[in-house]
Amino acid sequence: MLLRLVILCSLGSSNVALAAVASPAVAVASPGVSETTVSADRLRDILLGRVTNWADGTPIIILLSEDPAAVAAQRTLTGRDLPQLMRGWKRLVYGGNGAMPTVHSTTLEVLTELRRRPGAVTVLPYAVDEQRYRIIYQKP
Amino acid sequence: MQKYLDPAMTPRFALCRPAARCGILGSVLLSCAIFGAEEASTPDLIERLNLEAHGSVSFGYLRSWGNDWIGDGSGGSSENGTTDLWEATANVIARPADRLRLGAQVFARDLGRYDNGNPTLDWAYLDYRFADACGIQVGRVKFPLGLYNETADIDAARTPVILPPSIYSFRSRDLRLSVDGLKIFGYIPLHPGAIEYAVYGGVKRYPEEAGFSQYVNEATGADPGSLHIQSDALIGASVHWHTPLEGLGLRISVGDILGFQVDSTYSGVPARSVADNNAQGIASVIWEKGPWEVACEYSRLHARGTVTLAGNEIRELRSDSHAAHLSTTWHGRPWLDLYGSLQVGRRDAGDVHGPGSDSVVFAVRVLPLPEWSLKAEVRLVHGTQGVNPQPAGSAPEENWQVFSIKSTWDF
Repeated sequence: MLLRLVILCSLGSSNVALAAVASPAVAVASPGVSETTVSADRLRDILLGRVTNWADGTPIIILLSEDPAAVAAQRTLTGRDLPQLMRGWKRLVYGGNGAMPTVHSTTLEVLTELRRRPGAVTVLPYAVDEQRYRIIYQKP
Repeated sequence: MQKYLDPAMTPRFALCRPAARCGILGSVLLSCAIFGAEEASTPDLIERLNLEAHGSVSFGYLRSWGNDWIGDGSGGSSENGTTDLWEATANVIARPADRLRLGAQVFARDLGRYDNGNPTLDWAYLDYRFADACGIQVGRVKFPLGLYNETADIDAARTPVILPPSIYSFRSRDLRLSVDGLKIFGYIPLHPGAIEYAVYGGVKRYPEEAGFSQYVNEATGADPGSLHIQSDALIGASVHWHTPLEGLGLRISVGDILGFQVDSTYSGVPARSVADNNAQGIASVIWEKGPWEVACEYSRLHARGTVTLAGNEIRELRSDSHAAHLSTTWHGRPWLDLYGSLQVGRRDAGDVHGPGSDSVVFAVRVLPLPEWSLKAEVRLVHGTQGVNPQPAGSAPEENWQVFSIKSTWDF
């Protein structure tokens, strides 16, 4: 138990250190998404569950990666780390006001899912192949 | 409600006992979800419906010193400690078409001598979003009243075990939690800032087996089984301004129970309390920045009506209580939250030094895993507001304390 607490402490410290640096953030959507670009404000509203549909009405499917670099990118856009972000989503979902994002352990899993799910969007720390995905927001 | 039902004109479903209706509706929705899941031998159907299911289960222990606050399920006192502090939630959500979301949630809890694990349909809605600025929910919908009313059941979403009880009823959770009707809501970006709003209305039932009826029964000393609570409608509205200042939000919310009526008997003599309005208004400020979350709320209750005994008016019904809290949460580590809160309540808003209660609360939450939390909370209280007559007949203690621990797992 003590060992686990030490590990958790070190993980927590590294996350706080990451928070001090604004990481690059790229919003990547599945190819069929109707919006070609979104503003930082709209992207934040999507990630916080305030906006739930794309402009054409398609449900927004949020995919989140637990990869530390992707978590830092999510934090850059929302100001919240992954546990805080998910706590907000639990409030929405269990309160009857939303549908939960899916959390994946690796960015590769997220990209695979992104290709399959219409309306899906994720946030990564780097750009990806624009032939296969749609980049709708980029913060250097 | 019963008086409006004409058996000849009413579907069999509507004539079921309310608890049975909830059960049937919940079962149908869950069955649809399970059938849908089984029907899809490939994941295609589940993905096409965007079907998902979630749930949580909590177990805890609560002990009070000085006063029996919630009792326990076997008729004992919470002063001896009770493990009758559990809750369970299961929901299914689907997004089968553009702009449309369907969902239902079943909730059960045991809180000392309250609620006793009876499952209830927490919410069941059809949600259609015309645009970001306008959506509609129809069914049993939760409504925003203060910052935390919609999430009062969601232990996984907060740090303290107990929300400020003078504002968010702890034992009477069913009083202002949801309404059978509709909610119109929306989100309007203002550049900078944004406005979120909700307007709702519908009817409300007060089951005898639920916490509010139990609480009223204890507080009034009515004959056992004689209590009947009803209302004509529940209406309300909420506006939340996400200010241009990063992380700062202001919210005003009001909920009003119209035609609120309590019938009971005292030693066989019929009594009736009627309030044309039973309103609660809450002004809220929340500031979220980095690991810090600070919330401050002021709540005011207002009710006017009459109390009659054996058909004769004996006094005016009047409620003017108010309450406030200032709470801070520090999400210092992904696995650790600390919480501190000052909470005050007065029975009469016009008498600052009158009877009420002042509380100091500390809580800690540890998350060994993202979906598993462990909490401990200490509550130091001065005052007897919210303490029902003690089972032994003794006067409530002015200074009393509560300690609680809770473990929650969600998926």
